[in-house]
Amino acid sequence: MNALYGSDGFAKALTDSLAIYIDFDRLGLESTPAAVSQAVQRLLGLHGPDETLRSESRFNEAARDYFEHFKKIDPSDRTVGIFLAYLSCFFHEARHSHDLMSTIVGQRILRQYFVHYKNVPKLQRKLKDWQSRNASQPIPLPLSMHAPSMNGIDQDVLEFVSKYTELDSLLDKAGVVGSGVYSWVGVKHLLEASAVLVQLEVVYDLFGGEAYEILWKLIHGGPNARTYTWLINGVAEDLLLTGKFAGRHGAGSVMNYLLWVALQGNARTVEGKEVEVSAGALYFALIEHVLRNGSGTIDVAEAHQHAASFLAEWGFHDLNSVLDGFHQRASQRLERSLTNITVATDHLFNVVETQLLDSFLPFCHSILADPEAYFSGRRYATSLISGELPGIPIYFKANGEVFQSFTPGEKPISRESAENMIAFSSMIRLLVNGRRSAGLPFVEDTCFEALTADAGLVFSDRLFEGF
Amino acid sequence: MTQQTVKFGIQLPVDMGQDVAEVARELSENCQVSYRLPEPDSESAKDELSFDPISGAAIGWILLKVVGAAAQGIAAKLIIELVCKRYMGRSKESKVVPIRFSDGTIFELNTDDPESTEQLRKILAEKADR
Repeated sequence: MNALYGSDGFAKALTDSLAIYIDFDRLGLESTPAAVSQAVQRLLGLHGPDETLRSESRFNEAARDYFEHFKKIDPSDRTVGIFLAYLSCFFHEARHSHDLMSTIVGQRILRQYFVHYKNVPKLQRKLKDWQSRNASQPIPLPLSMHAPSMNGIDQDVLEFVSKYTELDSLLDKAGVVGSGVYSWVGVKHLLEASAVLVQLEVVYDLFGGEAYEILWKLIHGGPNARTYTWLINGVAEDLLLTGKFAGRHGAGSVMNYLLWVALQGNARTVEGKEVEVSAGALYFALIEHVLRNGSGTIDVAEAHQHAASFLAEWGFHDLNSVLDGFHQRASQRLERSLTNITVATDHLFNVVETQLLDSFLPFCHSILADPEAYFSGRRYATSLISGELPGIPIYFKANGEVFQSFTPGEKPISRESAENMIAFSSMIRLLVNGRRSAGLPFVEDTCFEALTADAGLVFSDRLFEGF
Repeated sequence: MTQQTVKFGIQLPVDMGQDVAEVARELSENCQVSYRLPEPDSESAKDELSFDPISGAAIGWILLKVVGAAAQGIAAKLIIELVCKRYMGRSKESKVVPIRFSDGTIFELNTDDPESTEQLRKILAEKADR
């Protein structure tokens, strides 16, 4: 699966391991301006919290000081644009990880990955066997392209590669409405809309309209971003035109809340059968219903009530029973798999799944108890930095050194689990998708070293085919 | 003398095609130097190209092959001329450039670090087919 790039090149969230990665050294073709790199690391407390920025007002003041400084030293707005992009992309990417952890769609996607991670040692063994049988012929990378033409390759390997490749496009395809005006909207769009809303709101609230314009121009450049911002703009305009919201901020929070409800998925009974509705369709139906029925100034609390009445009216399950039902079924399934452990890798990922599942309901309940802290962009940012939200694994590179830590807050997954997810996802990406296909380059290099120097595998790289 | 072949890729801006052609020509006196530039419109381009987040410029893997008795030395010269002189000659370019080999090895060359250049020479010697 491709990573969800917020604004390509600034930061990324790895949807198959929940980690965020920021490279403060390199920005595409250039070196990141050192002053920007230091400012963002300080504001985000990446080397530990800065006591002088503890209060919200001090944080805001320091952030605005940096903004003014970068504008002053470079009137072209290039430096300040890079500053805004790095700072806001952190919140964008963190939002992806939190959305995956707190929604049923996200939990399901992660579980699919864990099934593959459990089979990595077996895959490695089968590749080694193939190489022994084939006079040490190199294993052609990526397997997604070459596995079918590997003479005498085990059927299990072909199946593994084929299933993983399908999984790769899960985010693109999941939740897509079959037909109609919004037929292009899938889970990926909803996740991106949620993250872009948070990102833009943080910038608008912290630095004002001028900064918003600078960042908007930067984000708007990419073809993917245009799709996501189109989704947001289309709906936001409808919302704002109704005059039922407390400005941009109010509309953003309501949209974020409805996106989150849609990402839980839902089903209703049609002709005696339980039929699941796509997340995209559910989102637009919820928006429509809230707009029609809302009166006065609609906030998240009122949107919550209207969403509940929509679900009841159309025969869907209420939100709490959707969350409880998923948790119960997933726990039962996990319990069964815990009694059926065959190899050590099964145990590793049962541990990760248990940790994620254990934190799922408490996280959802805390979101619903104080919705503004999650759905308002600015509150989300302060909640994240102050540690009110679950901690997310974060890797960043600065001055040639790689740092690994968690965002502040209680860690739903242990450091060991986070490392396992990163290592196994990198190993699969490397084998199935090839070198530098995404992920964390330094972890991928370690995996390559383990496969070649330690396990003795020999590869050939597709890039050089026919050259 | 033994004939050698060294194949490698350098991740560079795609618009450096002209520089690659010139450097390949300049260094091909005692060796055969060939190259392949990424094709932005090809089927594989979506996997092989990335884009600079500020300028939108395409970045891709430029492949080079050097055949001859002095292939290792010419390969090192090619990289130094292309990366350290021409690429770094452009303003604000990154100091770290990835070099890729046909067995999947990737080496991140740090142009500010003489040890990194030395390490690259060793890798070129290891990867040369005799």
